[in-house]
Amino acid sequence: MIWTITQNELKRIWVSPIAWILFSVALLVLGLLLLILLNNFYSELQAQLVGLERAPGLTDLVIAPYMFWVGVVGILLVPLFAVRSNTEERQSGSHVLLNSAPVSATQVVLGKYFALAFSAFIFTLICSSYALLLGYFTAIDYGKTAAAVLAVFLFISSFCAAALFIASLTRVPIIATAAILGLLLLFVMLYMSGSASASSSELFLYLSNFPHLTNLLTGSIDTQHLAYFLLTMVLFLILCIRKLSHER
Amino acid sequence: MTQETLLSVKNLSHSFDGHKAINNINFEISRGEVVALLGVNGAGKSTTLNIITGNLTPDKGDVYICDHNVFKQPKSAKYNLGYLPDIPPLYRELTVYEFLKFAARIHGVTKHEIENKVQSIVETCGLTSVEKKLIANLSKGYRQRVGIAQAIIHNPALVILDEPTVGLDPVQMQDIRALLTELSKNHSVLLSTHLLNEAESTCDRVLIIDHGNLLLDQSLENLKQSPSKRVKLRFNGNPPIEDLKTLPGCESVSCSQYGKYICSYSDTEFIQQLQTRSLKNDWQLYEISTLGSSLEQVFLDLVMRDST
Repeated sequence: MIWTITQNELKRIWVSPIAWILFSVALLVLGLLLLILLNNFYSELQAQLVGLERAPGLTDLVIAPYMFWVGVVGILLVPLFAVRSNTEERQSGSHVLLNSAPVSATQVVLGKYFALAFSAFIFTLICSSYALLLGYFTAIDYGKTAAAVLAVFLFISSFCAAALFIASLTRVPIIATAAILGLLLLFVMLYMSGSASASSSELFLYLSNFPHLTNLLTGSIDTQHLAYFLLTMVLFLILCIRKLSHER
Repeated sequence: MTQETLLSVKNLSHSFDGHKAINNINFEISRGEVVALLGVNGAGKSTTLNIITGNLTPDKGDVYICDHNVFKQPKSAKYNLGYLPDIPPLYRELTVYEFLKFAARIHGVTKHEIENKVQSIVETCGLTSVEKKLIANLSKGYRQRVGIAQAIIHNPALVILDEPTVGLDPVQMQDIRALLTELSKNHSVLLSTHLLNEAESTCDRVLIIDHGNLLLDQSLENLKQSPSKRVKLRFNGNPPIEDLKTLPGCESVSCSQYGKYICSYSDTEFIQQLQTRSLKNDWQLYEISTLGSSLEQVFLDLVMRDST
């Protein structure tokens, strides 16, 4: 049943031209960004690295920052998909179809979440292929690149869970979108204020999702960061299931 | 032989922000029955249906569909239920075929049955010409048909339709009513409407609801046969329903608002005893009027706000 709901959600998301347009624009922007990073590496950084012991390579100076921006652009797309999947459905009254069917709230939430996570996976994979293409022309660290791909996927998909929960709190798409972007802003603020030298805070850094992404992008798979993303996912999915169950 | 009860609604009450939307509703629907839930706008029809279909949790009461409690065993109960709410729950971005296929899957139709079920429901509901069209591009009449199709695609024992003809033109209305008549041959139907002719032409029994109270639960046949055995009583006081029920010949009593009661009786002694008891207990009875014989008259008698 979860897979049936996931398939239907994927169809609903990707039948819309807006989704394709935004996806294409995101790929275009990220392609340009990769060109800028490459240009910067070859024209400026490469010369400075000559003679350095254990100098960082292309993976650290181009692929890691590029993947960071893949994550940022990815979570900027999340509100559109989450609101479409949840809030718009409640606004149009079509959620009654699932509420009246022999389907549990858990199946509904997981079905919708897997559709979002699958879209996030495809997005991450396509964007990562740009970086992997560099492997044809120069030596890159595939281990670090794989860690970066995993980090970005976890970063986007955990934010999908939070967005899905927020989208279930209202029937008004604009309010849901604003609230999801508000949460994103909160994560950015926590990161900035937590890492500022005057007011650095371990708690703020732990609560924000950005430091966990940047740490995984260095190539070290630390369970602390994996646990953060998995816990965030589970927490927001449980909240979303409870919200839906309470309505029924 | 007693008929199998498909839907049993027991002591259902629900309030919104302190306002009682429905108050102690009780009724049953047996296999093969087509029942109309009548009431003016805001009477509590949609709230009742939302609770029955598991879209709203009531403050009090229980609902059983085929002996399964909707709140405790929602999955088993909902396998036997098809529901069309007042706004059809459609995905506008899908084609009719895709949508019906999805509706069939979530209602438990097995993979190898789906093609046949979808094809058969498309024909039954007259959707063959629009099968490949996007739902967003359909007329309101066709969307309503798709809504009905999703409600019956899994062949449920009980079908609940909330105002299925509202907003349709006369031709579309006639088409949907013909579809409802066809539907009633194989399913038990609970139809919410405020169109009395629709109820008269398609239903066996009527439930009239007003201010959240169930005022009447009677078959259309009985309604037309025994017009003089039903009276509206008005009191300045508010006698307990239990006391009225103990009067000889009393069959049923319902209270629509303070001091206003609807009683069915089988013996004229009921009226004599009522007057005697009213004097004795100071109920201050000031009106006894016979209810009309047509559904329209009964409906107006019951739901008319203070007419005196």
